[in-house]
Amino acid sequence: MQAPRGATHMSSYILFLLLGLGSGAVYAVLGLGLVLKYRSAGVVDFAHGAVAMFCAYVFIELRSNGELQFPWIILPHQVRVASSSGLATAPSILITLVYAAVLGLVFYMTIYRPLRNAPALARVGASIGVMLALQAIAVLNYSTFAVSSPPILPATPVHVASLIVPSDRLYLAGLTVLVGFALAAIYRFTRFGLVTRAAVENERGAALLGHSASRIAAYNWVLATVLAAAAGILILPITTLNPGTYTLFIVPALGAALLGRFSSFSVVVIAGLVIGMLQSELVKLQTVWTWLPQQGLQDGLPFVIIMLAMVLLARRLSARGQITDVHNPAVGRPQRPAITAVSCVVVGIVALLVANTDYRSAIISSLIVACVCMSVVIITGYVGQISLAQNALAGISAFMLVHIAHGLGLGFPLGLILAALCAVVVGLLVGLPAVRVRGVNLAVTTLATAAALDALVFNNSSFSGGFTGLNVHAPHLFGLNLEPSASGVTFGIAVLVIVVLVGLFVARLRNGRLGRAFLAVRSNERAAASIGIDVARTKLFAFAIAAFIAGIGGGLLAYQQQNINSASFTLWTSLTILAITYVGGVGRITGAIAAGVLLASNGVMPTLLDNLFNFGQYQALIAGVALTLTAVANPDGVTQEMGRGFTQLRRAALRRVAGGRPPSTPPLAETPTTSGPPPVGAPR
Amino acid sequence: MKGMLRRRGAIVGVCAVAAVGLAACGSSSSSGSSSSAGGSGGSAAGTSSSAAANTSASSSVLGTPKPAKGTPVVFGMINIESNSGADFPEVRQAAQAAVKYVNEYGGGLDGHPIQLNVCVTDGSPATSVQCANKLVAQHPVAILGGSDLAAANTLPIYKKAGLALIGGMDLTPAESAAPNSLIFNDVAQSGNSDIGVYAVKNLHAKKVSVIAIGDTQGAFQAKTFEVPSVQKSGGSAKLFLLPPSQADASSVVASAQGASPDAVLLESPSQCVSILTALKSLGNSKPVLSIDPCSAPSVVKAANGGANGMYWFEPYQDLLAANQTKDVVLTKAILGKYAPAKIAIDSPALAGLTTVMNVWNAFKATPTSKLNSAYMLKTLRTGTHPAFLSTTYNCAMHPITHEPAICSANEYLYQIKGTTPTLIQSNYTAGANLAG
Repeated sequence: MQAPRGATHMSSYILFLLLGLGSGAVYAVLGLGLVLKYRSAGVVDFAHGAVAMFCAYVFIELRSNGELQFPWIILPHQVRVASSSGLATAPSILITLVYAAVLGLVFYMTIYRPLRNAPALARVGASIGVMLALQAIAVLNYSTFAVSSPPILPATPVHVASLIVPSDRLYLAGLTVLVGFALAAIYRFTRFGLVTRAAVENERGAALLGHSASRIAAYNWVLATVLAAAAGILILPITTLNPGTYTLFIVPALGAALLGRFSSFSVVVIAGLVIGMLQSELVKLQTVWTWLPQQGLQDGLPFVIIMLAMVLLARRLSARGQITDVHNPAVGRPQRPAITAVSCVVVGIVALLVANTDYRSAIISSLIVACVCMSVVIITGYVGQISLAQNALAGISAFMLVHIAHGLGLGFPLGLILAALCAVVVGLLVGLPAVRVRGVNLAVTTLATAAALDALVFNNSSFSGGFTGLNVHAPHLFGLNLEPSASGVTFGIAVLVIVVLVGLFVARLRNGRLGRAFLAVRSNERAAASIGIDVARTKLFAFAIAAFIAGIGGGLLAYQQQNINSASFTLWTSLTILAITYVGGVGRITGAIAAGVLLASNGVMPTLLDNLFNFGQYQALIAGVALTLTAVANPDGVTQEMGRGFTQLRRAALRRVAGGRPPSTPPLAETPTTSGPPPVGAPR
Repeated sequence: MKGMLRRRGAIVGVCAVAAVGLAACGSSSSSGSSSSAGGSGGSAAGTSSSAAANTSASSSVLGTPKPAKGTPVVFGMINIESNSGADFPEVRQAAQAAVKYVNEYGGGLDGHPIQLNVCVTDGSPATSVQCANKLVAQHPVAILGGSDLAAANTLPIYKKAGLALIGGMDLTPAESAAPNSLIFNDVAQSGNSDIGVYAVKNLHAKKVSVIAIGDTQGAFQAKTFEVPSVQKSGGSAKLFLLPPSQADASSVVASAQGASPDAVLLESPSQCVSILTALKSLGNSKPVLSIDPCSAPSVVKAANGGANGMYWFEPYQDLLAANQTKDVVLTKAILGKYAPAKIAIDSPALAGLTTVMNVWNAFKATPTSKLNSAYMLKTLRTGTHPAFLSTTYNCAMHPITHEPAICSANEYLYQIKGTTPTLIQSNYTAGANLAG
């Protein structure tokens, strides 16, 4: 008997909801792990998806080849623990879960425990570093080949009413709900759960009662890592494992965790499942409402949910009780900026004239990356707002540069300025949530924004030219051809002058009234407000200025590359920009320059070292490790240490000149701040 | 104590700079003699082929050693190996294996060894441009094609330096059309159109669902090749895009099935497994036609039966198929002797290997003093040449009219029966000019 047409129509919508349970279960389990980590250690672990990915590889290798994998390269990274035909599924899962527990403990003790009282930025930086490193290790050791996984859960088709649904999706959802309830019960009724909650609410109080907050956090971290591994393994038969895809699951998982206010396990489970089901339902709706965007809609959904969560829950987002004040990275105070600018131009021109094509290109790339990094210095270094979307803003400007040239016929430099102003508009939208949230919550929001821009805007071929990209008109100024391929030197000089002018502007900004307002907001928003600073307006102003500078950088990149496509502005590039600025020194203009020259993937120093030693394929790995190391050991960035070194050298030289008499101590060109904003995520 | 901590911080900071600096190279070059770039190259993938590992018969197949000596002839190559979404280390590995064979058994080029300087990229324009500048500074005679998603950015640099891009994979329209480019076999495009034509003309599909990855590349490929080829063959095609970050492909697959297609086409190099398993679990009974990467042994194994009956086209003779030609046997011997044990044997690998072999075949007797990009382009664009692991190529014929750099659009049609590829048809070119 045929079902009525209306019923069949309705059942197809239900089918798509059910088919979303598989994805939703993964987001929910990963979200649960994120909650555990945040509650116990105060870390929003951007590496959580990467940990799931790596553990999935560990399981696959055990199951397929009987080898236990380790997270390193070059040295043998596998040990045979069974015959080459592999272990059975159950022992493979068991060993992997134990392995995950050990991995979680090692990560916590070596990376996150030392960061318990570090600035939010240091913790964000460390977790991004771990993510980059694990992803790079997986690329080097496993490449991106498809891997085979045996069925883990029964996958026989199940008839639900008139629908046929693979049973493994239902089992996955059921298991997720069980895990959620179990966690909720553990943290509500057991002594361990109560102690954890006590430590979250009041670390000092828990310590007075004899409970080590650190040990409790370690247990939670281990549990979270085991959950990540379980999620990674269980989804293997229905997804494609490669180093890239699993890492991306972090965005919807963060959305679920945020909806659960990083505290409620049951809400996280529901939110995760709902996100997965909505993503699936959107696929159905795209066939019904054909006016919907056919590309990027599902990837943009977590952004919408995160923004809604920010609007609705901002004042209730949980705060952790912390035993010390948070301190911010030191901020530089530019000395004699005009002289420095002129010196930079002279040195830069000489370098551009002397260098061969390879190094000239590297110099130009360094300058452009330094420009984008200066936007991070303003927004994150000066104002303390963690933005993971700065390179996405550069991308907006880069594409708008082409559209402006085609549509309005405006070339260099007016087109560049107008394109950067377009980035300002988007930058203000990115910055709007900063009025209500800060710290890691803002980082999550900007991450979701960058992901949404990537999925919905840069993937839109009418805006970005799609796969083939957009050709960029060569820049001309007063009849002078600045096209990079024509000479390189004139274009390089133009870039140099622009970036130096940007640096000069940032220096003046830092030393001026607005710069002081920025620092006041960063240090203590309430105190800033009490002396008449409009905190919201100041933050938005900073976002606008930073977006403009990022836009200038994006436009220059477009001119340099001559053909621009979305690959230059993915989510990962925005993360990398924050990471290298942080390593360079996020509170200083010299930090941005160090990031461009020393750390940018195609900058001067990497080019030099690559030509000497051929270390290219280890780029992401060592960048990730270095970022993590810097976050743990040197939260103020390398230029801070270099500055100290120069100061000591100068003092030693002065002592020698003065015949051993101690010289008068010059003022340190920095503003250390030890009193910081309220605890991460605290309501204002 | 504070001083110690500060010193420790300084040391770590300096180490970090050095480390990042060392590592943050956007590119890496390795000369032809090195065989592995760190890592086992896909041990998890199960992509190693017993075909490549069989070295027992290698020595007799390879022939008598004829080592090349003297000044090396330098070629450059850019290859994607540090992209977390899709990388192709096998292109370099196979090309380097062929270079070793040519230098040890083939006498190189006029007695001179080939030196292949490979620059590793992540496929982004910035990194690839850096690679191109670096290779140009090494003064190669030409750039041998590897895999690169930023050819639109690198080809102008080669052009300025008077260099040609020869062979490799045609991943973007840029290298398929540039005047200083030449592609022996169309690896990435004809086969995509061919599956559309074959579905309509041979499998008599009137309605076709095309499932593609929802990124810029996947959408571009599907809209340019699969969909137009179906439509121009008289069928109707509907495109379904799978978001690259979606954990489970089943909803998109269900949506594609909901269109009641007579055949399903896959344009999803990085999501073959999830789509094939979803098709199986949702009870698909219609013919599935895919692009070449979905036929990799690792994918077929991972799909747990979901690939059974699947059709695909590839430009090379399949090493795992039953028909073992002379070129297939030699290729197995070369890869068995010189390539890493776990190299992925797929079309990208064969693109790398055949590029070197075709260049060697065309120029092994040419005095090295005459070898430069202009001469090579002129020679290769004159007449018909034998194509290694294929039939012939003729770069003057322009078999794909809108992609004049492509020299051959010949494809082999295979079908998975059980887990084994079976040759169905040779020299298929019906889809070559049906792109949108």
